[in-house]
Amino acid sequence: MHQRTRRLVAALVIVPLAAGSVAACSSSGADPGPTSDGGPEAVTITVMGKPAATNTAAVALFERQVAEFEKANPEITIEASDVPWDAKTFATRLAGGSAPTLLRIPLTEPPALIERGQVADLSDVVDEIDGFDELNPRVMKFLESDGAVYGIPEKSYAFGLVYNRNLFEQAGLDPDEPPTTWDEVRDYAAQIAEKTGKTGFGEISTNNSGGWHLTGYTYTDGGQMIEQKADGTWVAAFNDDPTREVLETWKKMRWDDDSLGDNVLGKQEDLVAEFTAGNVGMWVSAPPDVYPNYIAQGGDPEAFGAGPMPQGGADATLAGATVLMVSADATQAEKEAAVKWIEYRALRPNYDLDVAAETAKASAADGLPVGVPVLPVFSDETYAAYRDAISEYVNVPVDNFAPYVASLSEFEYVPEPVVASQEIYAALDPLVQAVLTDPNADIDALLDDAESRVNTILAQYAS
Amino acid sequence: MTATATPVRGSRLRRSEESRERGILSPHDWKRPVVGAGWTLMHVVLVAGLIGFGAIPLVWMLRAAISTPTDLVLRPLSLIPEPAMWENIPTAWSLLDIGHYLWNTVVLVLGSWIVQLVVSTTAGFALAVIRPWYGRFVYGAFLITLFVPATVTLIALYLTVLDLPLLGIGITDTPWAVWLPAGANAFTILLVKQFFEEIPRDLFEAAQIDGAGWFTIFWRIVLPMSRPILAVVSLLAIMSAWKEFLWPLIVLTDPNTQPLSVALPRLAQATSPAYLIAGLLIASIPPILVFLVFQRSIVRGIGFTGLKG
Amino acid sequence: MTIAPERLGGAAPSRTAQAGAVDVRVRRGWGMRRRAALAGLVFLLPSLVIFAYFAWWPIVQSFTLAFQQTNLVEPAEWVGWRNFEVLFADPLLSRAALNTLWFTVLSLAIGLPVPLVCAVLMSELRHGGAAARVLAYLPVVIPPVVAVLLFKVFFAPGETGVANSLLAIVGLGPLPWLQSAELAMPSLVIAATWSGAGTAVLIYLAALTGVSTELYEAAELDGASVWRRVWHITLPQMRGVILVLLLLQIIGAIQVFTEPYVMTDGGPANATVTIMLMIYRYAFLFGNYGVATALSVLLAIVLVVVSAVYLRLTRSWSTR
Repeated sequence: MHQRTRRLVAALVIVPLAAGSVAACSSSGADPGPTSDGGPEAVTITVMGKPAATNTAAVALFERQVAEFEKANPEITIEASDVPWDAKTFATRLAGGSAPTLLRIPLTEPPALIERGQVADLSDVVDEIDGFDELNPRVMKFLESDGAVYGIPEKSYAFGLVYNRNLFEQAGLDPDEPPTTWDEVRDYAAQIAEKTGKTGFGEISTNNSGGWHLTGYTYTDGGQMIEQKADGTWVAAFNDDPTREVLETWKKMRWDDDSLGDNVLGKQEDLVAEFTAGNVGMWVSAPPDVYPNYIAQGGDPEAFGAGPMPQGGADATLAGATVLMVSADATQAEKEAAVKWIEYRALRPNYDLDVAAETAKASAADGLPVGVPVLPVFSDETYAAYRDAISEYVNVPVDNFAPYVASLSEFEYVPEPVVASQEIYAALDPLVQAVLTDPNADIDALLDDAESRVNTILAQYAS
Repeated sequence: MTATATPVRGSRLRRSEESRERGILSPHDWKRPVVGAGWTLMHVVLVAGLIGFGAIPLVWMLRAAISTPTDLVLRPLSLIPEPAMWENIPTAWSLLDIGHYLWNTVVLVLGSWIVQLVVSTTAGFALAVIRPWYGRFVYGAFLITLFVPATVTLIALYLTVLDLPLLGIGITDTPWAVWLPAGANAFTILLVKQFFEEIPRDLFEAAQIDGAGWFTIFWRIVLPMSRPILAVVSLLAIMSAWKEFLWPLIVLTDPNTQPLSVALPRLAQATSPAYLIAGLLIASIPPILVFLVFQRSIVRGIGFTGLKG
Repeated sequence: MTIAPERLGGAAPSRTAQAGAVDVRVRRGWGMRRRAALAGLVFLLPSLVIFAYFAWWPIVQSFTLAFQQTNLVEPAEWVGWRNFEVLFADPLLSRAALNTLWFTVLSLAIGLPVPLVCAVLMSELRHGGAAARVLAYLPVVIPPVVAVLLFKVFFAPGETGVANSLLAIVGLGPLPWLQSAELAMPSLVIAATWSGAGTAVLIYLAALTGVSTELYEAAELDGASVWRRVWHITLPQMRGVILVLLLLQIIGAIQVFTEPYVMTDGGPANATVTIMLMIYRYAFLFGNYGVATALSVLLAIVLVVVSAVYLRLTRSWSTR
């Protein structure tokens, strides 16, 4: 009886421990493979950035690129994930250790990630990237700190107006003359709503998009969201006329003109779907980012219009970027592999003209949009050369983008708030939602409330 | 409620639903025109209401799953799709990778079930059969946890799972993070212990005389006799594990490990409504099937635990 | 469990000894007692380990973590009452408390009487009782997340939503449902009730079958109308079950999370932020585990107080 009992004890204790440790080991991100003598270490990295499963053509192209990369770098295996960055879940994933090796995130994230030591310093590896020095300093300044390099931009965006040319025509508006000021937007929206019964101007306000839009619109009125005082502390700066203007305009459009439609609580993806279905006249986003999703969901290229960011007198527009960073948990070999992948997929097509032409040709053959006008990641000259290289494959109605592109050289680019962007956006969402869902919303009280919330958040960031 | 001497009619009392002589209403009541008609009317309304409550939404879900988005917009209330896009279902299955998440759910449920069975039977056996001197204190320590709702210790539990004390490993993003905490369920221990206490101790004594050890008693005597309570525990464990949302949401941040309940809201954001509803339909079919097959035991089990708890 | 006298090693006769059976326990000395303790330990090992790690330790940790701050990288630092100060300074706390209270009241307003009435009616069904039970319980079987997402579709604003189309049949205009701060919470309650009411119905039904029919007979013989029987016999007989279920429903409603999180994410404009949602956000959105735990401790205190007050009040009712 004793022996059996002892064996039982042993079994009951050891089995779960063993199983648990095996499971825990295999759950960590990437396994460095066995190092063979002398040869390069086999390495597997997990990367973000695979297109959503519903965009089958883009996924096919992506997988081809992965295959080619793995062939050229036999010691590297890429495991790609199509789960996009999400404000709500990303922080948990990082804390829980399940974030991929290669992070593809908006430019609002790097300052906090760098501060918390959650991303790796790439300066020892980036010298191998051609043209690294030509990367746009506007973006790089967020990614470099004290000589260390923490990330590489994949693409840049600036806010503009996305509009449905067909709805414009139906409403009696000229599709080549998109509105340029907020007053014009208001008039056009009312006209579209009246003449076509569709949503004149679409708005989103959940998942931090309300705060994001409020910020972008405030910039066009010449306002700022936060400012840094002389002693280094940050305070909210939006309880002022520019933001108030934006909120008042929204209020009038929603409740007086009824041109915002029924659903104002969506997020970016919802509005893209509605817009593709032809139910929305115009909305604010980054046109080059929206266009590929629009096409993938079956939108009509000819109906897509891109106009300048409507202005309230400031000639400014919000500009952000998508950047690539490497998790701090990565080993040296994983870091190098990740940077190689970054260079291969994100950077090379921009400056290696042969690769650019080949990718363009393949994309066009798959029906993917080629030649969407973007904000250059490298210098303007490089971008011009790139556009020449791909010109014969361009299948995007570039003229429809002309008003947007023209505006890009006229506006000042204002970056998103330098600290706590996403937290500020999250704090502002309820403010936007209140104005859009409650006809009796007291804007002044709401602004005071939001200001104190944001100040509480900013209090943690005194530098 | 003590049984008193009953008249002849009363002795034909039976407890089963359909063959009860009477409930609140007697057969005499039913014959009275006002009462009979009134109650019949109420029953008609009740049945109609139940159909509208329980059946119609599910039928609508089936219809929406096989419709096109445009059809949903044009004829939202109809229960018949036009055209019937049955292919939505296999498309949603592959597009949303539902098979993968369904498998994750099954893995999590099976593991939780096994862990709960092991924990409740071993603990119940120790407390009810072996009865060591410290058993009372251990039992009390188990029961105390019933007074602390799970949501209150959620954060601390998460931090524990993130970094197990003494072992230094984290089990987030593994099924263990769901399986192991599922075992910390004092209610099932309570149920099993009470059941085991009903087993006549003579059986154990006789076995011990024959030289059987505790484990043999456990395995060969107690467990085979425990089918009813094991069935109840299994049903409770499986049903609650299948529906779990908040805990897997927190500890399974890696999308590959997530069960359906966590994956569906995330997928809902990026999917067209028809595919999403097809996904919802697929996620509902296993529990509905299980329920329809085992409905009598389930219904009895609910009443049993409801009254006891 | 009392310690049986025979355990103390004496020769006391066992309580269940049958005539002629050898009393094994007479032979139990200290050796047997120790072996029983060891065997008990072996069998208790799985539950002890699991409870230690996943029940007892987290309970202890909840109370210490409420006074600490941690960012998971460095060891936790002691901050005293600061977490609670931050909490009480947060204007969202009172909003969340009110919202949670509102949800509880609304869900009880429907969730108490309706299942009870249904159960009473169902217990008198002469045919199709089994089918009725299946129909009532079917929504409970659906995973809550599925139910909530389904209702999110139902509540689409605009004229083409299912809920609005139903309203249109009776001539009522389209409502904004989840898009309006006033209607968002009632919409959540509707979804939550749909998916939870079936359990209450079944439990009430089980309790109803336990009511002795002789009581009804006696009342009928006394000339009591059906309604008087229900009021004076059925309900009082079920009082215990009703009170327990009511308390469980209150406690469950206070801890609601899935519906606000999936359907509205606390919106619009924080109209559906509940306490659990706040705890979740503090911990997993802002990484502020200390404040999240402090709020959990407050929630625990509220639940204990509510239960104590409830049991106090209902005890006096039961003994009347």
